[in-house]
Amino acid sequence: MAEVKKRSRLKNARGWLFVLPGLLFHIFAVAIPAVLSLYLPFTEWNGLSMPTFNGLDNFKQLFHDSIVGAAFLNNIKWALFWVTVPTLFAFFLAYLLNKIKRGQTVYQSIYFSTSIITVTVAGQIWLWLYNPFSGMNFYLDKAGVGFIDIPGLTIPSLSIFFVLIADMWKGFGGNVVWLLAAMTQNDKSLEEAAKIDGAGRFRIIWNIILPQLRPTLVIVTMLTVLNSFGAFEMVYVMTGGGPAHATETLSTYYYKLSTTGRQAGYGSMVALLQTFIAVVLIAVYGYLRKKKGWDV
Amino acid sequence: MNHRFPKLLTVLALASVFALSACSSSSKDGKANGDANGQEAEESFTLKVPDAEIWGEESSALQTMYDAYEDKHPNIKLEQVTMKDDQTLAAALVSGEATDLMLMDPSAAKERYKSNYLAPLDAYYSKYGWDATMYKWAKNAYVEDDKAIGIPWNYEGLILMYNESMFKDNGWTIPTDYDELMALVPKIKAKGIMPFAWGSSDNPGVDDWWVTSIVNGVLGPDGTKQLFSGDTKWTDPSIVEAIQRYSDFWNAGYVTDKKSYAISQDDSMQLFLTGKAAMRLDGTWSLAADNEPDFDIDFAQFPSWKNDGTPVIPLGVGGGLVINAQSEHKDAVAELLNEFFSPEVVKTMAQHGIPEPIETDYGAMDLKPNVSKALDMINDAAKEGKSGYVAWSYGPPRVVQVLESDFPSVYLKKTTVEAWLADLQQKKEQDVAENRIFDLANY
Repeated sequence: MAEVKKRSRLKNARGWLFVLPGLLFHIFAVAIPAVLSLYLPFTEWNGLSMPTFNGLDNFKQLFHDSIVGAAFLNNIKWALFWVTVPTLFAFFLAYLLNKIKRGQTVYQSIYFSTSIITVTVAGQIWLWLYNPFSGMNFYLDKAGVGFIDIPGLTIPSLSIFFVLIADMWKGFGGNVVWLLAAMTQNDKSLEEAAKIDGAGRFRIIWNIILPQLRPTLVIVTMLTVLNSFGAFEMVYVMTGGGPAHATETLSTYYYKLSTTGRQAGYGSMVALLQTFIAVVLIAVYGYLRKKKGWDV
Repeated sequence: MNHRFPKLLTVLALASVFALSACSSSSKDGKANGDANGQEAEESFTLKVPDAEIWGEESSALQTMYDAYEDKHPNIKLEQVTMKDDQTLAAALVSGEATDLMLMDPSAAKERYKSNYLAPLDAYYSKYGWDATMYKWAKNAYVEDDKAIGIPWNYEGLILMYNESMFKDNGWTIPTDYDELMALVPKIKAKGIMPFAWGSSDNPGVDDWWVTSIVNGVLGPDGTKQLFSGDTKWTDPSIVEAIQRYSDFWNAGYVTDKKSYAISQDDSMQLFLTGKAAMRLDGTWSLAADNEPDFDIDFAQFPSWKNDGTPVIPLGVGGGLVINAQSEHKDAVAELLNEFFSPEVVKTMAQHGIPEPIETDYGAMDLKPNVSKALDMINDAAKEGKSGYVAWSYGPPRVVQVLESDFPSVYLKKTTVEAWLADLQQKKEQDVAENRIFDLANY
């Protein structure tokens, strides 16, 4: 009996040995920084010297900082855009792809190809296209249709949408793949039955396809919204949050505060706000999943 | 009895011995080697230094310096490390992974010296006599708490670059003050040419050059000193008026057709080089570039932003070399730094339009005509008391951070000039309270 226990303990110890490297990495690279990130927002810290506790000063500053408000609004615009235009576009393309019998993989690869381009390169491509003196407008003018003027990044209030178009170009292929994969799992007999009963194409989409896709759409939408509140790369590459914070997001703002701004303490407070938003969104998703049965 | 345990211990002990011996033969062993003549050679180790290609041609003098040092010290290996930006360097410093020798701008160097990341260099200044020919104002950019903390890399000024052929063909003359500038720019615009090419989408920090040129032109060298470190306030009516003038100037379409924030600095240079723009605000560092447009380029002092003012060339240091306080080989790094003053390195720096801030005979060097002319222009301005101060070398850190990130808020009218300058003044006062300003005595 004792021998069995000893073997079992040894087996457990071996298990821990295998887990240990990963566990230590997680403790030092994730857990400790995560706990520290709950303390840093309440400090004055330039990112170099030791942080000094300053109570709720950063919290108060957060509510007086107009840039935080503008950045938050841009994150909302980002989320609204991504859950509508690219998602509908991806759904439409996935629906069409699902209908074709030949060359589906080729089209899928083409749509997905932009997703494998790095953000830096994608951003630079769109910067060239948007260049008001040598980009799309220049060639439209050469083609004799100079009356079509694409503002690109020249109108600050519209800049965020043109950055979004670049981001959509880079990222919508992923949604197409997700939705297409879900559509191929749909029960085709339901569509056939609806057709025999005389249902039109729109009714089939609305009453047969969409309800079956709901779990995928819920998770795609959830991830899209969460990603939207972390929007950083494309904005940083294309505009750096400018001009005059017109394209600022919470992520670009706290990055700048923490690095060039040397206000890592306050930057952490802005990051904490972003985490709080993510927690609220996840809680809403949890509620919908539990109470409304929006299971995935 | 489990017999495997002692075996395991033996294996671990042996592995440790091998690991330790492997470490000892690596970069930080400090072992002494005898040379062919039986003399005791110097220690063998590796120094981590900045990548000589970090700024392309502009930083090629580093390679000249490294080569000269390695020739004299064959046992010391220089490992070039790329720190792609200051954020990467800051992270490396905090984690103890920064290079032994570092490139750093003055304000960052001061912050980091206060946090004990940089070594004081007074002893090395005395030992090698680095400041014998160094301009005092340049050395002072790297003085904190009366301690020398770095070596200024170069000096640089802001100038007006213009299309000489275009000016000749149209009979235009170079403006020297605001009135002349305002008389000229409508004529240029009427020809369908942009008066100024400018771009800041890739680096909003360059807008700081405009503010620097404007305040130097309006206040003069002494007034600028007072604005950065003395009693003159950013809300001074002359500054309010000058910044408002720039906002009106920009909104009149004289700067990249009101699209400067939508294109990069390189794009704006292309506008200038293709003859679509007549002028550029630029730095002396760009004069060595091999641009070959089909017209002549010339440069002059940037016009004063005062109605009848005289031009001032704002000068500053572009960066500096500092020693990591955690370096185990500070003496060796100092000796490497000493190569920075060797004739070959001084010449390489000057040839790239970024002269070292030391008194030397540039006339004896084979410099490009543009570079020679710029050096003469700077020297003449300095002699006449017409050289000013760039904000990125001498401005209060918090103020500079706003100048380098938020100037578009003014000309895009997201705020009023008065409110924006009041915010700058508040930030200056914070820096004064925390003793983070450039000491008036050190100008």
